[in-house]
This record gives sequence, C-alpha cells and structure tokens, in this order.
Amino acid sequence: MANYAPNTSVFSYVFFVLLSSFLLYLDFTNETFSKPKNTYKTSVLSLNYFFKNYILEPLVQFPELLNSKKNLIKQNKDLRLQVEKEYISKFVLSKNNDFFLNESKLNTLVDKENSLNKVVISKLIKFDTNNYFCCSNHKLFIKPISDSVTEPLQSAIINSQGLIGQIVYDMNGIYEVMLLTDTRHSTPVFSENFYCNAKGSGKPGIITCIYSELIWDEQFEIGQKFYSSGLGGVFPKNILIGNVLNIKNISASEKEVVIKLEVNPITENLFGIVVSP
Amino acid sequence: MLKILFLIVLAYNIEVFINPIFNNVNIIIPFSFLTYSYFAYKDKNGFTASSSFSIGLLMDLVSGSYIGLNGLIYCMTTYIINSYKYVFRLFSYLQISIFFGIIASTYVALTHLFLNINNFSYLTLLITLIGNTIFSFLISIARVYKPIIFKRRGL
Repeated sequence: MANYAPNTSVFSYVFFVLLSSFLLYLDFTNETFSKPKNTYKTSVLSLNYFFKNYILEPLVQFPELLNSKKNLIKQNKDLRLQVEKEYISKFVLSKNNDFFLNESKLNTLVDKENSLNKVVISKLIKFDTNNYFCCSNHKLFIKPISDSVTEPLQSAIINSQGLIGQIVYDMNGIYEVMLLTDTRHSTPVFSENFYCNAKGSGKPGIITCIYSELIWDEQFEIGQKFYSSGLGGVFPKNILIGNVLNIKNISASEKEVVIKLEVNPITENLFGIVVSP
Repeated sequence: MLKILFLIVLAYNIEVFINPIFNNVNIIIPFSFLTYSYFAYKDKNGFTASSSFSIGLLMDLVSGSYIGLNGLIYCMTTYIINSYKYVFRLFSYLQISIFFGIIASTYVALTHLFLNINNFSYLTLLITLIGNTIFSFLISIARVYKPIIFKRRGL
C-alpha cells in the first residue's frame, strides 16, 4: 500500500495561507501592526543597551580595573568622545568654502542663535545593515547620551560629514532614524536654480531626482553639487548633499538625476540631533 | 520545538551579519529560511500548517518585515516539502540541493517583491539561485564527508 505524505491536509494550509495573506495585506496597506512591532523593537533594543552597558562593559573592564588603569581609560574615552562631539557640533566649520555656496552664508549660520551648532549628541544603538545593503528600508536607532530632546520627531540627524536622515519614531527615548536613501524618504534639494525632492533609491548612498525636460531644459554636469534647499522646514538650508553621479532618460520627456551622497552613515557611531529652533 | 526556534533565530542573526558581505556579489543567502526548510525536511512527520505559520509570524517580528510575509512563505514551503517527503528519498544530494536552491531564491524573490521592489533584480535572483544551490550542496557534502572522529562520537 502506498504511503501518504504526512501533514498535507490542503484545508489547513489554505486556511493559514489566507490568514497570512490577510495579515500581510493589513500591514502592507495600513501598517496595522506597527505598534506591536515597535514595542518589540523597543524592548529588544533596550535589553541590548542594558546588557552592553551594564553587564558586558563592566565585565570587559574588570581586568583593566585590576591593573589600576581605569582612570586612564576613562580619561582616554572621555577625550575621544569630546573630540567626536566637537566634530559633530562644529561640522559646519570643519568644511571649508566647499560646504556652503558662499562664505557669508556660513558666517550668518554660525553667528545665528538657532544654528546647527545646537545638536544633541546621540549614540548608535543599532544599524540595520542587512536592510541597508539589501532592501528599501534604510534605518538606524540612536539614543541621546546626556540631554533629552523634547520634540524629537522629524528632527534632522547629522554626523561629522553632514546630513544622514531624520527621526521618524520615538520609542521611549530610542529614536528610529530614516536615512536619506530610504525609498519612503524625500529630501528637498537644489542646484543653482533647479529645485526638486530627491527620493531615496533604496541603494546605499544614492538618491534620485526626476524632472521633466519640458519644464527644465538646462543640462546637468556629472559631479555638479546639490545642496539642501530647506523647503519643508526639516533640514537646514544650503548643506551639501552630494554630487551628480549619472543622468538617465526615463521617458521621452523625463530624466532622472542620480545623486551620490557625501555622507556615509556606517562610518561613525556618534550622531547629532539638530534641535529645532 | 524550542531548540528549532532558537536555531532559526540564531541563523537569522548570522544572516544579518553575513548578508551585507555577500550583497557585494549579488548573492542573498536566507540562512533562517534555509534552517527552517532543513528542519521541515528532516522532521519525520513534517511540520504542521499551524506550526509553520507560528514560526513564520515569529520571524516576521524578529526580522521587522511585514506581518504575514514569512508566515505565508513558510506555510507554502512546508506544504511543498511535506508533499515531496517520500519523493526526496529517490533524489540524489545534488537534486535536493537544487530543490533547496530554488525554494531559497523563490523566498528571496517574494520578500524582495514586498521589501525591495524598487531595486528588484533578476540577475540577483539568478546568482542567488546558483549560490544557494552550491551552499546547500556543500552542506550536504560536508555531512557525508565529515571526519570519522565525529561519526564515531555520533555527532
């Protein structure tokens, strides 16, 4: 007699496939399950943070304590942290004339009370590198080191090289940052007289601008610089975003400008939250 | 079952670290999915639809993808694996590896339809198919040719 394969009742599989499809539809169209997912993420990240800072780090430092090097190490760490903080706080100044279109704008920004110098230094908690290299959702999680931010949502995030993204979720003090390259993100940019909303491409370090040749007939050059336009009020104005890498024809009248970002978010562990004026 | 869950989550964490490296050569190896498929294939009676759905939901939560995506794919995969349970006995290691390569690349294709539609690439899928087949074959070969010392210890 022939053996029947076990657990192949079509009814139960059809039921669960339909149920999964229904859940998938709800989450894909309405993000119905974003709350439980965020709760899970928050608890995992908090546990991770607690384990690293209060269990793993003291354990690692224990032999060093025995050797009476604690103070030296602490001093060294504090100094390094201070240098990195300075880099971020003064990242505007660390770039020369190249950073801003002209010197006067730089001076105005530095002299102004509500300038980019007002940043809350934050530490990287988790970078979703798998999604960053494979998929469309580019995000990282940060936590302020000392100061807290009163209204963190939509605040711009910088590292010592420039703008990297904006906060989209506040998960009890841990902030989810959507990077400029996320496909759901758009950055208002300009170059000379051309303004557009550059969409994230889902590829690391690439954003794109689509425009109609019927409206804009001037040519772009490879390497041409794009700056943040400040439209929308999220990102500060006149910050170098990137250079033109390529120009593609999409249709008879539409073209796509591929912009290579100046900033690489995976190089540093410290970030600055630009506090809104 | 807890051991299987632990190993699948562990495989997912390995995947998170390793896949960014493989991405440079357009290969995506879904370790967590392959681990699940291996256990579904290895289980004497095969996984039930409810258990595959539950494991899928857990993976959705862990990986942060859309709820139901892994549940759906795991259910379909389990049904296919269970249906071919006795047919696999007639297959060679290479044929089974090709089967796992195909289902792994189907998994990548389906997840990319939802998570990476803007950069959907058939080239990546083709290389992933070849990469996963070779990976599965190497694993099966390693099992056959593992050092005698392990065999004696019953590992």
